[in-house]
Amino acid sequence: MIIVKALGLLKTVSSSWSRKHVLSLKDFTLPEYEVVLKTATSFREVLTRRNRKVPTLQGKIVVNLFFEPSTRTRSSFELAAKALSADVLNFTPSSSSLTKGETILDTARTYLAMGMDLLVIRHQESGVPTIISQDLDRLGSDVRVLNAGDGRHQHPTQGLLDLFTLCNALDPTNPRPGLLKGIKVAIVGDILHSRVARSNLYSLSASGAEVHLAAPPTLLPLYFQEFKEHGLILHHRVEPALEKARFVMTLRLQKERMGEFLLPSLRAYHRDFGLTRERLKICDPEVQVLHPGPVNRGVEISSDLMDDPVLSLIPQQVTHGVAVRMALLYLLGGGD
Amino acid sequence: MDREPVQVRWLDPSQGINQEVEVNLGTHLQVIQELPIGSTQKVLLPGLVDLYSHSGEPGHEERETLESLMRGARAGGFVEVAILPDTEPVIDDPSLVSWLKKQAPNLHILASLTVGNQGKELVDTEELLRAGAIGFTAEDALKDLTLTRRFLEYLGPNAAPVLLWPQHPSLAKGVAREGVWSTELGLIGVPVQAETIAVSTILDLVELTGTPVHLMRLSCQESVERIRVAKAKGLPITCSVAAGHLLHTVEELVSFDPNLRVNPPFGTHEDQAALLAGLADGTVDVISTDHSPWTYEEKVVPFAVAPPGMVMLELALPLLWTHLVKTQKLKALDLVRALTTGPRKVLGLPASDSWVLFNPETTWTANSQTLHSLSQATPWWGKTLQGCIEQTSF
Repeated sequence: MIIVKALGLLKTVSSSWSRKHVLSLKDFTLPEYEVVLKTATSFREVLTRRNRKVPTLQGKIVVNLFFEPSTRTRSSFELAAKALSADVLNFTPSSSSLTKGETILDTARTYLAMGMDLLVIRHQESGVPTIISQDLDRLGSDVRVLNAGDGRHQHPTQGLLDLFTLCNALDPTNPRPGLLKGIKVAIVGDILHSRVARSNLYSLSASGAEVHLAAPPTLLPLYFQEFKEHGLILHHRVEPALEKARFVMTLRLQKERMGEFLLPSLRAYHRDFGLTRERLKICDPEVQVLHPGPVNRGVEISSDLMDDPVLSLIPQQVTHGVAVRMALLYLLGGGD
Repeated sequence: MDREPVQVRWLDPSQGINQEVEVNLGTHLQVIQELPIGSTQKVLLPGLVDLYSHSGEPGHEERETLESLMRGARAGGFVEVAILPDTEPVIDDPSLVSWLKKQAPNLHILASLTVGNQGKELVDTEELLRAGAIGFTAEDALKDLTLTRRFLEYLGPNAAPVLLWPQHPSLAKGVAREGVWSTELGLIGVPVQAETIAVSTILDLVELTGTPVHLMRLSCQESVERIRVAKAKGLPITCSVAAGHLLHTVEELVSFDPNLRVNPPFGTHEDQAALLAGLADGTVDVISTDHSPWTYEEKVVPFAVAPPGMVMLELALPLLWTHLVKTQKLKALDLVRALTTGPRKVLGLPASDSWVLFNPETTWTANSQTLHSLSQATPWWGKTLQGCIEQTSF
């Protein structure tokens, strides 16, 4: 009964949704963020029931096309699609099929011919979901494309689940973007290489949060200043970003960065930018920490902090990921 | 050949001609009468010359053969084309040069500065010139400055044109102009300094050796400014811009179209304006097509993985006319100069009485029916273009 009620609410919500693909959060509007959060809230309820399935996407095919290997994001999408009763295909192209003269468009075209409805794409290079969506549109298809992370460009579902997690921490009964207005959020770490940070910049500033970025100059070029007109504040030291911050989002630091002369050592990075309990003392007393995973324990965040059930929102991020992805699959593919 | 008289706007920068006339087209143009300004639609101009294009042949005939290259060139109004040595094998050998010269009389050969383009041993310049090479070029002139210096010294000031690409290899390990757009799109940036450091270095080498150099593929405002100053000082240099840089800017990369991946990467509107101002005041001498054919499989890959370059020989005149002359960003005579007398001067080619009849109003679609190139590597593929080459004397 409750499920039926929840779905009734969803019907009205989804009628205000017109976006075909979710490739970037750049042009997301505040009403769209509101719809995603409201829909995700309903699915969060669904996921707590004994029967976690709703029939919304029954008979629809969701293809997870993960050119870049990923266990968590793919599992999250798979669970989300299955909870909506969709048929799910997971495809991780072997590097060989793509070196044998197959272009990046061919695999998507193959699934198009098999009748897929929703295509979830992750690729290690920026822009691949964009060009595949353009190709499918050119072919006149109605397939919806969801970017599950492309290179350093965008990771919109992570941006949305982070937004949900932040808003949920402020008001679990009704998480909505307006809650973040005037709230200080610090993003600390390898922002240059982070698609997560690029998505979060858009969702946080659209919600009215006060966004502070902190990283060594090599990982936070000044171009980020012009990235988004409203309210990004850049720091090349961590303390001014952390001071009185209600939320701190830290990012994974890839070990390869040392070879590119971006940092002297992981030790130096942890010393200057790693999150520790000690360092968080200058934050808001209620501060909470997020990380998109996978974590380099002891580099961007200390192990004990990561596992702290009060300070760390990392497990909630993972849980909310399924509800938010259900919301997006539903909004893109379940509206008819 | 059409013997009917035609009414045209006649542009010939070698004689400073820019007037509307009724003319008899033939091997020699015969002007019948002058016409009032604004009374004609078609344009008559000398056959175009391309300062540098990439050929697929030898080695990559699947990209472009010499035959398809020259057919495309002719269709695009180019009467003569110089090709770059980055074929397989590299053009560093006199027998290859004479074989290439035999394939097409209107083909000019730019030979590599070093054996195998390896940057280790100098080629035998004398023998290559005797075999018919028109000049020498290197894309990695900054890798070993002693080598480049010695080459310029050995060749001397009056032997043959030398075309160098100002790009600092270790600063240029990216795919998009560094700035807000590369940051937003998550593409690795190349700072303008990858070019300007190289421009200054090459200018210093010209000063050191006294050998004239042509600087290829300028892409930023600062380069134009440095070259303007150096030319005013009397340094024997010329320079060029690739046509694509006058048509595209970095923010178009938001489409992630791999056909927009070029090297050097596209700059900003300010860079484009500076390059156009350079063409207008004579700082920039030449617009080259930098025609770069790639197969569909090679080019339809993620943006950052795509090989750089686009096909341009058949598109250059229609696109440049539509987007620069019609929009009054560049005067018609300046455009034609950069495509005719400009490259002729750099390559030391005599004037020719070839002509091209161009109708700027005709529309057509770029596709496999209309284009002769074997490659589809252009962001204009499938799009409607304005301006069509109707007839040529060659």
